[in-house]
Amino acid sequence: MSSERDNSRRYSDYKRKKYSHNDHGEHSSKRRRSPSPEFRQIQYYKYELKRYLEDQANIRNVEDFWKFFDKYQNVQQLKKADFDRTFLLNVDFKEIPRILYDRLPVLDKNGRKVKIKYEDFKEFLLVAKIYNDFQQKIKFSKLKKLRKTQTELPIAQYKSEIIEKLHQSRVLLIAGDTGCGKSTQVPQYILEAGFNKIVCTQPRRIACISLSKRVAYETLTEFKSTVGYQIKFEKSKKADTAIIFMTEGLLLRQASEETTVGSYDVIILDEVHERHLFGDFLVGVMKCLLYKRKDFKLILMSATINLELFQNYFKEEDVQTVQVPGRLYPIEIHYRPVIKDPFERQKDKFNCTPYLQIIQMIDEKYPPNQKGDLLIFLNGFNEISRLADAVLEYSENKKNWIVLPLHSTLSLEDQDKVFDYPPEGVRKCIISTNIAETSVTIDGIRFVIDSGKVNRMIYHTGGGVNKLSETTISQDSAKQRMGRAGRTGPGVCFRLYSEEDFNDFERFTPAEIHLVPLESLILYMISLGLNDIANFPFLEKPSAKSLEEAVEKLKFSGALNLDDDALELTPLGKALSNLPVDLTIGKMLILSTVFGKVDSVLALAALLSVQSPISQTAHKNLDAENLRKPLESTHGDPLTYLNFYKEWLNVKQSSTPMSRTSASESSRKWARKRCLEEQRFYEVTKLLEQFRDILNEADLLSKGVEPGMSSGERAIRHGELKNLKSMRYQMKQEEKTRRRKQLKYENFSNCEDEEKTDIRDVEFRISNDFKKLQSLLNETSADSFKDVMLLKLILTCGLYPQIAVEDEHNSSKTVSERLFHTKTKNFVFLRPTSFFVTNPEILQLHDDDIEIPPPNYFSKRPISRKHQILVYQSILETKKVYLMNTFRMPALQTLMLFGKRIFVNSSFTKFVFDDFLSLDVPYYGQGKKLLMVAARLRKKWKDSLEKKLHNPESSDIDKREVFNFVEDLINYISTNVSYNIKRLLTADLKSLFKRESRFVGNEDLTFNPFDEDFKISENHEFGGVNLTSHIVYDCLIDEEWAWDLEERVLGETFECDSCGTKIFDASIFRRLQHEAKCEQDRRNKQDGDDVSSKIVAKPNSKVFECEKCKQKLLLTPVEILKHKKGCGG
Amino acid sequence: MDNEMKVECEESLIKIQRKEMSQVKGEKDQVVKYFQCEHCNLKEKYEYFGFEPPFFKKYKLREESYITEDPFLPPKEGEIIILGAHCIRCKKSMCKDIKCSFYFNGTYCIPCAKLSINSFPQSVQDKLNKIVL
Repeated sequence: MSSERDNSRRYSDYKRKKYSHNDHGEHSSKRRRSPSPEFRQIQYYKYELKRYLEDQANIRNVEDFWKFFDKYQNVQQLKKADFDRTFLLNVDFKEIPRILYDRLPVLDKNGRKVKIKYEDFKEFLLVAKIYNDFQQKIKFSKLKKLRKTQTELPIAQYKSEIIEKLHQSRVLLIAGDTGCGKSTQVPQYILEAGFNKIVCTQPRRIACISLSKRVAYETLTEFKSTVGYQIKFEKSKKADTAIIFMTEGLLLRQASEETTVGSYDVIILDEVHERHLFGDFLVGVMKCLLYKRKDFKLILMSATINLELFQNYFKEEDVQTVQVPGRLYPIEIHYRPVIKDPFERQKDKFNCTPYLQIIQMIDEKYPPNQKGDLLIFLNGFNEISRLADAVLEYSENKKNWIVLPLHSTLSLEDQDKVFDYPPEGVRKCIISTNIAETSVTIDGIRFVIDSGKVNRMIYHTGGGVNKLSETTISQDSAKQRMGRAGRTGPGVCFRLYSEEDFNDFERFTPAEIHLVPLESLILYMISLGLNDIANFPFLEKPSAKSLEEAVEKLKFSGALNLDDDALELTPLGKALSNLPVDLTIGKMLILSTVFGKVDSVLALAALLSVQSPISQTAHKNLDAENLRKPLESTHGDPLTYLNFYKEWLNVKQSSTPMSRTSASESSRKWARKRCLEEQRFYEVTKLLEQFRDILNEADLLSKGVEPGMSSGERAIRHGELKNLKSMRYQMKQEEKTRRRKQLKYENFSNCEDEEKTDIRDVEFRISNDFKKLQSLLNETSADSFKDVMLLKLILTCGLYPQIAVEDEHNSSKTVSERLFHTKTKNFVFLRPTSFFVTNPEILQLHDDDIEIPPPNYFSKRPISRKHQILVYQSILETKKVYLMNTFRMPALQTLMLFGKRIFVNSSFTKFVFDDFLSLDVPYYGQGKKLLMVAARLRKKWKDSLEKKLHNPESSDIDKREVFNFVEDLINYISTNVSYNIKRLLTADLKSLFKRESRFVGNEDLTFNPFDEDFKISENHEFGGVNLTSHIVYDCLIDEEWAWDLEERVLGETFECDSCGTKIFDASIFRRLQHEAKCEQDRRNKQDGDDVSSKIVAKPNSKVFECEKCKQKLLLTPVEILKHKKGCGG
Repeated sequence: MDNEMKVECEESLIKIQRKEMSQVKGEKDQVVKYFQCEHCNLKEKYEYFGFEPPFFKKYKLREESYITEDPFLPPKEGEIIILGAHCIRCKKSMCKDIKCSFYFNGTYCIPCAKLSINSFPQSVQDKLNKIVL
């Protein structure tokens, strides 16, 4: 009570004071002796008071303050307060007003004295305090609002249950649908419960960053390091960080480092229901870790999908479950199965009628002022565009539907349109793939039409084919799709199938582990030391066949060895396991570092990793095709893409983002004219840098010296960057304010304002400066035959055995579409956008390329030196089976260089490669010579690779050696050999081999002409002997022509070309041995000579002829003296 | 098997509890202190209670309050958030929400303010009357 009394006393005190006169004015005039007391209003000194407000009142937003000041004064004039306003304020200045008054600036900007009345000043202070109080209220309500939204989240009610159950058990499963707040709240709850090394994994990198920002904001630690994230190449984590968001991949990597994982006390795996390959694997690894380490807890968070799976999987670990219901409004379900007309001619054709009927029904039943949009789920691009056209046509008169397609090949910009809102009385009709099922969440959907279909990519073991096929969705997907209608209000879901159909659907969408090849997973497992693949506790076990195939593939590509029945990584395998990319791409990346062709290979690898840059509708546009023509490479698709990319960079360089009116064409326009998806090139640029980072991290790149910039260049770049950044800021600002702009009906007659600056362009220019662009341009160029061939060799090494040969009947004129065969899949086609579709003559043998076979040799297959095979990146099966991203290679040379198992007959005239192709070289000597060179190059290839892997820094020293090696390779590839090709059928393989050896005993096997270090051994399986790890000699049953040929050769006396020695009655193998020995001697001698002539010519060198050794040398005077001394002694 | 697991779990639980204890001991000056509003249950960490928060530039408080440095600004800007104070009548801790407390030369919780409404000037009384609990 006392304080209250006190209060009223003070109040009456104030009243008295207020009406007594002010004694301070006098005081001040005494102090500031000024002849003309021209007091001015305080606002007059706004400029002078800026510093004062900042320093003395801690008010930084001075402009805002003056606005407040003016408003306050206006209000004051209207109604005077009946009490001292300071009573409402709980803050005050530390100093008394007198002192603060003294601190006022003395002079104004014009050098005149500042004159402010003390009472005015006190009013000013009061306003400053009120302003401060007002700011305080804003801040507090911000905090309060934050807490309110947090407590209103569905998961908030389960907070205590979560913490309680976490203390009870080591494994906790939290199931809640999107929007329940589990990703942001659960880590905070656990932090509050006293744990302080919490890891939370996310499948996507972007989620790590945004979640860590959000959680830091909510825990009020935005400017502290309590919450951080860690993704590849980037982290914001310090010693005191308590919650770390990281990608699944990163935690997997850490799982092999005991100490890192050992420091976490709670590990949260988020979004486990997505069932990604590595997400599933991580769950398995964590299960193992639970037994290995007893001092951490595991939390799995998922949508309410297939909970039983996880509950059963962690049954022995006594898993606890917390289930959080989502926020859903009631949804009506209407089953409207489409009855197929059995007499309909085009059965496969997509039928738009049922969809249009429903749209019409919506129009009739729901008045346009009742808001709510429509979301249609279809399976593929073609269906979407067909229905989009139909709906457009339907609403042409009423203009009451805006059609928005949504699929992953759309640019982000176009995808974002689905979030904009329609004009009054118009509904959005979003036609989407299953991308809108979970990945993209759109509010305001009231109607959903579910086709019940999805296009699913399934990898088939055996054929190595990716099959993209239309299948029915799972019950779970159907529920997800339905749920999309009830997010903002009650909704309606139309299912274009019957309830019985629904019950027949599979319950859950199959996990990725059943759909994709498993090489990278297996490679990764073995690198973690999990060799016992069969006994790993998979969440869902993949088929034995797919595991087997993956192991075989890894062995084939040289990443895996079988040592004493235990799988073991080769150095290549070890390096590959460090690269988080596809096996084939990884191999290319590693090889690029061996041959010093890093940039072009990185660009190629990036181009092969993204979707094709040629848009899906490109083959219908003839103008675009003609414009693309000059950029196409006759070598095939990947090199054509590289040319596109290079030219795009060129266009970028010659245009500027600011030049809205300049003559130079923007890269976006350039790409659109050519039917190229510019988006892909931006992706490639980003990916290329990521690949470079990956190689850097794996220590495979020698630290190159960055091309330095002159100070002038740097200054220009600095200015440019500043400009660009402000542009980006502006555009982002604009975007923010315009976010969710209104859609216009006309917008969708496909006109887009070309004038607009592209934010992607600006961002591209911020991360890539002119100089970098230039070097990228130079290095990605592949102009000479040598460059192109080397690139193709590197690609082939990555992709082999993915090769295809032409069908024999392709050249006949009646064939409309050319067919190809791979080892496992017959009759495959080229993609319509593939280079070889429009230019088939490049693969064809011309009449004058076909040679007359030698006497005694009969075959209907043409003999030529121009046979080519196609190397492809993948096989895709949709309605037809297609080869993706193909390029051509000379057949025999490629096979000899990359074939894993090469069978040879005794006279080196018949070769069988990898049980797929049989090649006859019916001229004695040609095949033998080529195989020898190939074996030598292979060895060199392997050695260089291993050297590089052991000693990554070495490449610079051996530049010359690499150069020579490349020369040798190119010469080898261009060797002229005449042969024909036959595709082997399974039946052929039965009668191909001798399966016995008459060799051992008859021949001297101590000297191996192919590889001195390789011990020749008998091959019991096929007959003959192993000459290298991949060549089996004398194992093929000879046909008559080959017998004849051998007979003829053996009939002639052998005379060595180099030493002239004559040997009678020598077998072909013995002849080879002799030749190889002679060649070796010759090379040794040459090497010796090389050493003496290795002296580098210098400017003062001159020709010198030594009298003693009769040599002509190019030496400097000092060297001449040295030489004389050497020769003389 | 199950029993074994349970024992192990309990052990690990104890371990965790010990961990917490040792942390509290080790970082004594950094013990987290919470302010909780007795009306709306808002619970927040506070860093200072009193009149003159060390990180509040140029200003002081006219009553003892619960303070945290402004978390929405980079540190050392001299800005704070006043979370709440004790009601000068009933001594309950009250946050700064207009539905929880009212300041007139001291913090009142709304019920106390309504009880002593006559001691306030008329315009303040009008304001108070508008607040309905």
